[in-house]
Amino acid sequence: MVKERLYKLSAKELSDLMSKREISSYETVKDIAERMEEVETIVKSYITTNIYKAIAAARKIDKFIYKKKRIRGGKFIYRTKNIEPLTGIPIAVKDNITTKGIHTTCGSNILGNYKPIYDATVINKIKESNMILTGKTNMDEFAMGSSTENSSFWTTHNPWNLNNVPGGSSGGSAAAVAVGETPLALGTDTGGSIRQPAALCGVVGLKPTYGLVSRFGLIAFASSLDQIGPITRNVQDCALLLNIIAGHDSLDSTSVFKDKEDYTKYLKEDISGLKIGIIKELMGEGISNYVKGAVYKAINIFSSLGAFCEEISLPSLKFALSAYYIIAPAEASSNLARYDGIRYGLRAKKVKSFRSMYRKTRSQGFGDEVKRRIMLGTYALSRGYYEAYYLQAQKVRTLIINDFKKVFKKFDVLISPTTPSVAFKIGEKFEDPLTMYLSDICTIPVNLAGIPAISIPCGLKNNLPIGLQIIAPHFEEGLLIKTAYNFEKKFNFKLKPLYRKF
Amino acid sequence: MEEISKKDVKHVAKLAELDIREDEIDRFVDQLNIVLKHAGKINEIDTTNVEPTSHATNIINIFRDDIVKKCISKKDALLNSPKTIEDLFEVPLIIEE
Repeated sequence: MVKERLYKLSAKELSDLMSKREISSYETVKDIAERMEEVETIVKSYITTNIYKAIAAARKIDKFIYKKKRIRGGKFIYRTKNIEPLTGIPIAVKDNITTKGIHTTCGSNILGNYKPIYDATVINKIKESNMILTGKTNMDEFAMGSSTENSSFWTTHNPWNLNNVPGGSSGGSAAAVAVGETPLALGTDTGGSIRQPAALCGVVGLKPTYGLVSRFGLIAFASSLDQIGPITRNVQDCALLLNIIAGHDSLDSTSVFKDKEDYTKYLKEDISGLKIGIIKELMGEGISNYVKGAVYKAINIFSSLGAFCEEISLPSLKFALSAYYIIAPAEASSNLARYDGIRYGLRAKKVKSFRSMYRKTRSQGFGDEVKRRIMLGTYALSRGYYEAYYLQAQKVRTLIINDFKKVFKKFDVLISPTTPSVAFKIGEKFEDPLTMYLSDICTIPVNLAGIPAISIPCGLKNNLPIGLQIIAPHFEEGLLIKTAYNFEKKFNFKLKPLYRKF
Repeated sequence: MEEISKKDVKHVAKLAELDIREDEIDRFVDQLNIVLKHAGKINEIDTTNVEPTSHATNIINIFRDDIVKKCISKKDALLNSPKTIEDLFEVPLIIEE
């Protein structure tokens, strides 16, 4: 029998085999490296690969896993009997999360040569868990975009159809997970950047509650919205990875004090009696009919599992996208003021004065979308417009939070499509910012409210995946995982790119 | 809401320390107007007596003891700088004539 390729296995499956000493971490990483050779030149998920260091790290972990001890009777036992979950498992990390000594570009020319001198807290956590970094994944510049086309380097291709975008901004992470260049990845989500690419690539993406995962070492885009989260091939892996990255961190002042939870305890098959609200505002105009159709089929599945589904209205969501495109650029314009060409990053050549250095560096280093958002944010914060735009947007944010609070009194979770359509063609929306922004219409309200949401595959159209979004109240990640897990078991989605030859 | 003009874009670019080329301005004017027109919709909703939200969690201030911890070395701090001189960041003349 031909041995099954390891890159196709989930993190849990790999971990189980490692526990039984049937495979080593080295064999796993080696097979991932082979898969990268097969597909990376075509899919282009990574900005920087870390495969040589990854192989060395895997060998080191194997020495620890396979260390034997002689016991009475001349028999051997393994010194480390129980291997921690995810020990020796590969993971890819989005390139806006700082990694000590490894290029961290944020998808931007302005940080093209940046090698951080410290690790982000999530990187420390994955290292402490003995996980193995495969590389840094492609993204829209400064996480501003929904297609990875705004990367300063190249566009990642959707492994389902290479002419289409993988979504964004964590497009590299989602594509890498979908095609088998890693079983696990970290992404970041400011307005949908984990869930939208997860939906378009047919994988699972979770945006945790704001404050659950430390943002120390995450290059800031919009600080009141940004959150790091897992991108995986199934819900079980999602729970395992969330276990590792969640937790309070004194280095992030927005990190929330909360007892550590084991999210795998929610991987149970029972959602009878669960009250599910279907968001009316996200099932109407602008959402493709086939997407609505897939969501209705999902509702049938939930009903067959004993859940109670009903349509509900959150009227303020109509204004969420508008409010977001004031708040996020306003925060970005302030966060990105730090790129001055002095302490790190690009510096423009042949500059005579300090000011011209600052201005030329930024003009050469930032791409068009970043410039657009900086200008938009600057405008919204400038004298005469502050009240009408920024302050009003913050008030709308309050209304959105209130609407969610109200419906969560009646419902346990809410559902909607993750995206209005399946993956669009590369180039199709590139010159038209507003149309591009509309691809985040279903995901943005969740960031404004700071609540958690997950995207899981719920169908196909023209052989491209459709995502279902499940939303829960603050810190109810367990409930999200339980709901998604039950749906996944019943729906039985096949991730085709994983088996595809390129 | 009034439309953003060429002059506005130039002014905003100046505030944001960005050089925008003449041939880029019209495109930025058009694109920003489309986005602002959509964003301006927020003024259609009544927000009388609604408090603004700047943050999604209720954390207000985080205090900790003022203890000296290990910090980064001078060498590390200068590692990523495009231009240094001895143990300093080097920049062009700050005071302009």
